[in-house]
Amino acid sequence: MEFIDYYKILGLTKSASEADIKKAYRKLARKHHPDLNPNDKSAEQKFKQINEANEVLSDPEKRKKYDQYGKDWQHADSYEKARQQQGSQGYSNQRTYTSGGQGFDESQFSDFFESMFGGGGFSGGGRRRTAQFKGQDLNATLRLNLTDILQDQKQTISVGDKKIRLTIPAGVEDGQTIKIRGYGGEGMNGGPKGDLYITFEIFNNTRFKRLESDIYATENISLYTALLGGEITIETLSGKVKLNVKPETQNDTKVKLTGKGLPKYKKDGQFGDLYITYKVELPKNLSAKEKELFTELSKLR
Amino acid sequence: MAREKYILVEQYCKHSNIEDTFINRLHEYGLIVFEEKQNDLFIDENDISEIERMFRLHNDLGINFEGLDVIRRMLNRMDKMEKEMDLLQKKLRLYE
Repeated sequence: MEFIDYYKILGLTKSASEADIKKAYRKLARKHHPDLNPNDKSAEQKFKQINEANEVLSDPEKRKKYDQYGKDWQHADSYEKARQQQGSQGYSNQRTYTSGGQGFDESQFSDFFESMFGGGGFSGGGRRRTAQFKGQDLNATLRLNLTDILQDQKQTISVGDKKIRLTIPAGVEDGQTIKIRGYGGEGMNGGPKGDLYITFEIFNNTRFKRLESDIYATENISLYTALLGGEITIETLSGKVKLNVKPETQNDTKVKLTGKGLPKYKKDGQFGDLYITYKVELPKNLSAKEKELFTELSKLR
Repeated sequence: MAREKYILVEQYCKHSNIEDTFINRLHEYGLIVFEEKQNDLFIDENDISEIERMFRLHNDLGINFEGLDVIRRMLNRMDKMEKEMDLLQKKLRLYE
């Protein structure tokens, strides 16, 4: 367990007056309040620290104890160090599921604080009041491969000790968050349960670039196919497809394969498109004969 | 999973730390809408997260009701802009 410098957290020195502490705390609380910094874990952490610092320094008794004890802290012992229960929990290959509370639970003070001032017992005054009715909302991240979202997927995930069966709609976006009502923490005093927010991280394990339900790829064609036309076979998400390349196809020509993209999110039976850009490959290491023929060709122009 | 659920304001205040004056003022400022049934006032369960967020901002930072409205609008705008930025970044990636 590490010593925590509460003065430093509030940007103050030991000689700070009560008014200085109040001012510094309020300023930092406005800056780092989690409700004003959505999806920012570091702000949440910071806010907790600021509150803890204020809890100690704004209370003359606690401050006195802290000031006296602080310098001898090293002797206090080496506690169980990282008591971090949070973290990630693998749950199947390539899919990691992490969970954590959203918002903040200000009853959670650091080990340092608890060892010095004890757990629960709060002196009135600065105690923050929170509404405790609806259960806490939970946040989770679910990682999937792009090839996993071609169809709706039924999956069972575990949040804490609860198992949740859910259907992941085909075509879900990378970074998209869905809300699953009632799967958060228990409500208090008969209040409704919190909600579970699942954010998807879609790993693109294909050669296609994705924009919503459309996908993009480049395909190399030979100079001769480009000039004279011909048939090529390309790989799509749903298997091989034959394409007719028109004679005199220019480099960077784009063709659209309607309906060969990803399924559209929550639009059953609808698909995006696949765009293929042709890249003409020029022959290398020309033989003498080829050079001769190209020279001849160039004279015809 | 779309089920509408309303909670009696009186009930909600009794069980949470939030006073009915706070809820009433949110309503006055148009920050929430009451559902009225047979002279009883209800709040939408879907509004609870928002109510509790506004309560924290009011309580922790001393933000008044005008301020809560402004913050809510700003956060909504920020959210919209972040989504737009995300889409633009994805579009940009097509050209990389």
